[in-house]
Amino acid sequence: MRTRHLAIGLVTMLALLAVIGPLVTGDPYAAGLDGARLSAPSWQHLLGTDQFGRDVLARLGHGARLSLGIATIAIGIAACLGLLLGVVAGGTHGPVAAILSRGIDLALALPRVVVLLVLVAVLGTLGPIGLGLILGATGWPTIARLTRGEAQAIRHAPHVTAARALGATPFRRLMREVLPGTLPPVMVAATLGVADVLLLEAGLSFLGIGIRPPTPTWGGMLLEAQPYLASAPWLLLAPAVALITATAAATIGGDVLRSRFRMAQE
Amino acid sequence: MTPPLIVRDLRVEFPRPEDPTVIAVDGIAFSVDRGELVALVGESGCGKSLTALSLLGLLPGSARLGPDTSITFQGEELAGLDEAAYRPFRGARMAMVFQDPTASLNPVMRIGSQIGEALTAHRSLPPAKVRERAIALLTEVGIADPARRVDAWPHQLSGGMQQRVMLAIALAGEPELLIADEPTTALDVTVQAQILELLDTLRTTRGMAVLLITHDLGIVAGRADRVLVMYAGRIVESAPTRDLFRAPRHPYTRGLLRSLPRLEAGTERLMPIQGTVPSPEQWPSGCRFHPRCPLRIARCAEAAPSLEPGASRHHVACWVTGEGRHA
Repeated sequence: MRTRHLAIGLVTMLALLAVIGPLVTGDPYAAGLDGARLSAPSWQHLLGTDQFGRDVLARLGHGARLSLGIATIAIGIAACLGLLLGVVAGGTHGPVAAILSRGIDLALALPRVVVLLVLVAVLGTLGPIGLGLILGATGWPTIARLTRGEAQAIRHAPHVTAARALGATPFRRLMREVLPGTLPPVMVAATLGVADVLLLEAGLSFLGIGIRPPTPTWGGMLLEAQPYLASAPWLLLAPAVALITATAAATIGGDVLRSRFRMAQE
Repeated sequence: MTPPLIVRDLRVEFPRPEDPTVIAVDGIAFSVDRGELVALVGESGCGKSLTALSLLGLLPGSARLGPDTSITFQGEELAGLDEAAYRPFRGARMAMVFQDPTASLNPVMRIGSQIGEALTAHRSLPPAKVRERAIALLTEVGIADPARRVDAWPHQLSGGMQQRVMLAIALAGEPELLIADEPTTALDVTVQAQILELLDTLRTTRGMAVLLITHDLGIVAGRADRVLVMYAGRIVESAPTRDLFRAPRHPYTRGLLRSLPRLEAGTERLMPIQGTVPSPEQWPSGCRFHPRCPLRIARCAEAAPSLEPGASRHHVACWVTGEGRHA
């Protein structure tokens, strides 16, 4: 019960940050002309300022909307694709499953960053939604592999045979008996993937193909803060704490969802 | 009226590319009548579970039925049907209860929904009706407080209750034949008796044919109408339960009965059967029990005795104690 409240609290907090953060905090682009660069947190700048004198809190608030939005789109797509392909690849047998399995193996073998670079080269510069889409489109193989493994194990479980003995169609067995059992590990993988996506998005910005500076994203802020780790640690701390909170919220949220489904206990 | 289930020359084979085909069930024949409870008894590895699976077309992919096998269910031939053609029979006309109720229930679905799955597998029903039927079925299988239990998860129920739920699921399609494969093996002795009692009641109230598969001759005593004793892929003795216990004819059956503890037997020692059950690759020639048989004669190793029809529906496949001895 308490975990549920914690999850709801964290998710609400992040959602608030993303929705109203940009409205109440200051201008994230306004460079400090008063020479207040790299200033420590103060009443004027609650989380300090960065190397250009920009307010860190304002950037964090604006970044929340982009970063969390991109992560949500990406994880949503990756989880749906991965579940669908994985459960068919592992939960059925025949040529379709074999082809899908090899497809998943192939997709796993391709380095994600290289695929992303190629996609960007083909598609041109992408906005936040486009970025979320391609991050999702490259994120499914790990989830598909996980789902496939789980589905392969569950396919031969006695309760699936029992369903077959009751006259359940293959499709129904896949959807009602196999798929629900694959959800717990997939949920965990998906929530952990949130942090991955946030960092990957930052990495892409660094390579010049993600969200371009000066637009603030959490990942971008992390990267930009690196040179000032010793002199201005708050620069790193603010997005890092935000990232950890988001990951924790996703993980705890996943846990809560899982116990809502009451996944195989004992 | 002909019995709903008639099995003739049931053979289950496992073809192997290099080695000779393994025959795990070797030409058995039996029938189960409406409202009749027939017990198929045998040690592990004798082929009784394969027999059960073959009736529902659930044999593993590596197995196949013999060419002359015939399984007629209410006049329709089941042997050789493909998966899609078999589906209308499963659940709706014949159902099966498995050995391990904990594993046979989907751990991530409430029991009411699982009964609902069985109810809607062959027809569509509105959700309210499904719930109502599920509660009625839970009541029928003797679950206390069914209106609340219908929303329980499998892990919240005891093993005995889980097996009752499995029975409710099996009954959902109103089957005319229920196959129970070792339904009580995973349960406590007291719970075993309750489940068997329930099976006995259900076949009477529903007029259902029941094939009870078990390794435990002790549990069939008061319940079954007929007992088929299986040894190494063949039925060696078939008799009304009372006759079997009063006058077992096959040396194997006698051995099984002597190895059962009895209340009235006093202090005499239990007599185990010497040796072990051979695996299907190493079945001996002739009567497969002959290497372990105390009554064996020379002929036993040479030719297999068939299940000769004897007096009063008591059949036995034995050269020494069966009718065939005069032939």
